[in-house]
Amino acid sequence: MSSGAIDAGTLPASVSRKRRSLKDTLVSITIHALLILAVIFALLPVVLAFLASFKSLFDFYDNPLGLPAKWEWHNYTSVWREAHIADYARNSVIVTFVSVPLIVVLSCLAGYGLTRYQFRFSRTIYLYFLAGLLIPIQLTILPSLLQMKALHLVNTHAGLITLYTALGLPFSVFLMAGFMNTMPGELAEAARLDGAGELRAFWDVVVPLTKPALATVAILNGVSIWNEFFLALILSPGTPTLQVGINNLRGYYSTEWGYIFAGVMVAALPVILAYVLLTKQFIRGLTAGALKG
Amino acid sequence: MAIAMPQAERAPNRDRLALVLGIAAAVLLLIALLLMNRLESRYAFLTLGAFVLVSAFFLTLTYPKRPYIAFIFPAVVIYTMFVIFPAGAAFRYSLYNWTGLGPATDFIGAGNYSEILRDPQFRDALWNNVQLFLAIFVIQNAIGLPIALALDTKLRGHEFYRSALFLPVIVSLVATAYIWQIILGPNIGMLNPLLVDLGHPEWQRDWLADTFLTFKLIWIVQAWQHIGVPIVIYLAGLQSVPTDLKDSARVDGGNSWQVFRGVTFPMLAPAFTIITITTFIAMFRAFDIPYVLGGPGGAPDGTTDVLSLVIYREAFGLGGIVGSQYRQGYAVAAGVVMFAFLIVAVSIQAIILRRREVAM
Amino acid sequence: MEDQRNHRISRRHLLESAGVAAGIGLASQITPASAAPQSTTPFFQRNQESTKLTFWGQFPELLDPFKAVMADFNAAHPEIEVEVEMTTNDQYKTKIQSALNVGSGPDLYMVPAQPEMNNYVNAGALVDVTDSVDLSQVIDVAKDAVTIDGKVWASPSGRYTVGICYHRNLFEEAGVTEEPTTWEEFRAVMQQLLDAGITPYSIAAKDGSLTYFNYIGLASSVLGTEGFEQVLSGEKKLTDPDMVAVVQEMRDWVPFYQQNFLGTPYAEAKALFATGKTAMMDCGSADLSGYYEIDPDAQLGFFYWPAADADHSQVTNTGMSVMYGINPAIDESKMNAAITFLNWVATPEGAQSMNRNIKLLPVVEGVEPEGDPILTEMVNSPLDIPVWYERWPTLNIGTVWTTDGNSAFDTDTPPDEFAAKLQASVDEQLANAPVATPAS
Repeated sequence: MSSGAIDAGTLPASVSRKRRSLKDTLVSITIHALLILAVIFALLPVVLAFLASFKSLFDFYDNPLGLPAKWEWHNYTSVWREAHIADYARNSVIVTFVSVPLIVVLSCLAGYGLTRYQFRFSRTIYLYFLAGLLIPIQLTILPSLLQMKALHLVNTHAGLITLYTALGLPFSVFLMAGFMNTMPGELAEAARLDGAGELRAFWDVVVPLTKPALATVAILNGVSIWNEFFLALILSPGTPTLQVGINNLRGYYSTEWGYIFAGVMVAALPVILAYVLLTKQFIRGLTAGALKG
Repeated sequence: MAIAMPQAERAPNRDRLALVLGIAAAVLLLIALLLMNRLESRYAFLTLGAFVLVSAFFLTLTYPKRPYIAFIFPAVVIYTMFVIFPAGAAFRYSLYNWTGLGPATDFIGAGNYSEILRDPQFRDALWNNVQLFLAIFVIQNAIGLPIALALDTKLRGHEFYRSALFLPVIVSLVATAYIWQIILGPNIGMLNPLLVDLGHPEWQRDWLADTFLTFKLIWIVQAWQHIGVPIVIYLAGLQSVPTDLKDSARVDGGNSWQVFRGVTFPMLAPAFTIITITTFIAMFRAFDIPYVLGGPGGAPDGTTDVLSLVIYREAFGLGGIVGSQYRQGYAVAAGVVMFAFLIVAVSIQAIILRRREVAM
Repeated sequence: MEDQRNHRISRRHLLESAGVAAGIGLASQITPASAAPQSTTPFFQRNQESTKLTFWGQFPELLDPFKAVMADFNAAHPEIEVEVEMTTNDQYKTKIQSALNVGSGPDLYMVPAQPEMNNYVNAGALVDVTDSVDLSQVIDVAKDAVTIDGKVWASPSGRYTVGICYHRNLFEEAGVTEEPTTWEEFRAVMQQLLDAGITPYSIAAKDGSLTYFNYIGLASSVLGTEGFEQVLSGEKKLTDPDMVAVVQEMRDWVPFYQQNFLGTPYAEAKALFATGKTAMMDCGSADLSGYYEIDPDAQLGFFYWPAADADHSQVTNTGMSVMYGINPAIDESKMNAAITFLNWVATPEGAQSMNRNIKLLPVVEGVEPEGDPILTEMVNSPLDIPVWYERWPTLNIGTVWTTDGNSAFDTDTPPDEFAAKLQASVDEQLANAPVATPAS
């Protein structure tokens, strides 16, 4: 497998592109076949879950594979109506759409400060942020809860937003710093020399250039906050997010898998949609930041 | 007096004042955090207010000469308050024999730590984490890298392939749990009927209860969810390899393998470093998929146990309808050991891999 | 400023009810959280007539039935509303413990049975209701279940009794006419079902839940009350030949379990039985409403755990369920409402509501289970032994089944190896007995 792919990785880019031999065609077909296999492996579970969301309970057992015998659209309407999915969705939207801008602003400022200035502790502070990636979340739950309680933030959106923002920072700073390292520094320098203030230079010159990374930080954090489960369960039971809500469906409908998967689909759809629409920005910023960090 | 002072002499004073204010701000923040931890809300709010005020002065003073402080300040403060401090505060629990309810009073010093070092479940779980990392490491380099190489040729549909392969990365824990249950589950699972349809009923297994297979399935599901990341990063690494470099190597008479080994692969070194380290961290923190497929007890018979599960189980018990015990103090100690291990291991890796990058 | 005012008001409220004060006082010494109870409701809402209480439980599948109970309560006490919030049982403890630890959480919560309840009492996570809740109509076993060191910590609302449920129509289909009473008859019935092409028995081994109940049911049928007491005192070992025979008996049943039973979790085993894919399953009274919800026409029957032989008695296992406790962090203005609720639960009216909606067996004297004849049958069990996790020495037997359960069915190892693991957990518990052992 590996040598075949390597052939493909180098050959077509070279002279041989013009005269396609039989061998090239065969290699290309093989590669496509293998890639399609990989894609099936990646997507099939999600597709199965999608089909499952339209099945009735008995359909589930009698016809585990294949299309639903009858497309039960009412799985969706029932779950939306009975299981408070709309409330959960509202909580998820609030928490995600407030945390993400906060993370973007804070990490962008920090990334800029850490990379565009030379000072003694910049490396140390950068590593200080990275250490956050290694802390097991199970460790911090109780002290975090104490803090939230002291700040009167338990069971509020603000509590979850605060924690998500703080927890999103290490990776976001890492990405932003990585991305900013790849940017030419002269532009901001020039703006500064022109007499623009530090903030002006930052806002007018740096921010526009950083857009891909900002988009990545936004999408990445948006996805992970939307998907987050344990903190939402423990720190804010009064404002259950979609993940907490659909997790409870398992108990609530104990066996009605169709309803459960309808709930899963409702929760996953916004993320999948956002990903499909923004996939380019997403991947571009991710890779640029990751490689130069 | 101050008015008469010449401009040049004021600067050091200003620095000194800034330093004092900076220290004062740090002290105030620490006091506020300690107060919060003791649930002294009112004083915590007051101290926080004072902290904000002092910080404002501090930043105003430092901004003209050291603007970067103002840029970094908010992120550092929030991160310290809500990530670093709680982790530090948790450390205290690790010194107590404490169930997790009520006050921790039974101080046992390093007792939990010495027990962890002798605890076979901790050792077994660590070994499982090692296996999990090695498995994913092999898969992402044996399968992920070739896929990235193929996609780098911009073959038809490469954007679709890339997007599709990355999709599992964004599926949530809860959804992953449900999805793999309907595939591997013993009663509603789709894999067994599929094997029957394919004419191999003898291949059917109780996938989630096999002391040998279940953990291997965890590797596969983990790879399913994770592999999009290395593919995308390798791809970016490849795109930074200049095409003419490869071409000239080929013109010099190198075959594909030699070009890969001599030109492409060394250029991938930074990508290799970052992928290896992130995978290492992810696999040693792995919780979701083992929890989903093996449950908090690492079923069957502990064969799917990993460090995060040990911590979770000790902290909150097995859940479920039968009673069980929990030891928050022990769990936190295990978390601390895991954190220390990760710091050391990741630092060593980073040093070795970075050196290798330079050598190549 | 506002905090201070709340504080002073709270003091006055506290003094109004002496029993309550004892609870809060105890708690405040222990948890900093409850030393300064803080209100989450704005000040202006205090004087309104209606009080809203929150309640957390661990049965999301019973959300609607619980809401019905709270509606019954609201009908009797229109000035108090109780909001129900449920979490799946594998995450419930994570959630409630974290909340209790920092003095947040609901006003009322579902308290686990003893000996786990001891942790909650020792931690000051329950309000002492000895003087404020009237349990005079409650049967003794339920009273004992909520009493530790002579003090009452919760209000019991029901029991569940575990035996075996079956589909009458599937038994008929296979030509089974008599409910089995001994292990031997039971095996014969299962063979008959299997021959008729019906999967006889639904079991869940993945989370150790139902294999565990099977084990304690069969083991109890060998031990009887006296034998069980001897296990608790350490005189009788689970490694004795008659106890190893229980593990062997479960192995002998493997052909009758559904395919892949080792990987089946509790919810799936239930689903298999509920949809009629299997003929029998371990079954407690609280499971019934769920089955009827999935299939309203289900023809369910019930029998006790079969006896080891003709010399032994059939048996059931009973545990306490849904004990309502008060969180010490409760806002004082709500305390009276919470006490009112706990008192209502212990009245015939409350017990009937719990029985009707949740299908738990009532624990109030004179209240007969209504609706389902199976419930009456359960109450009339010839020999009833507590579920083993309500006793300290056998608390962790379930953990062994959960973390090591596959080896119970591993035919390469003799059954006494697994029995030894069970006994080891009892030995460990006996060695680490807490200072205050609950009455057993």
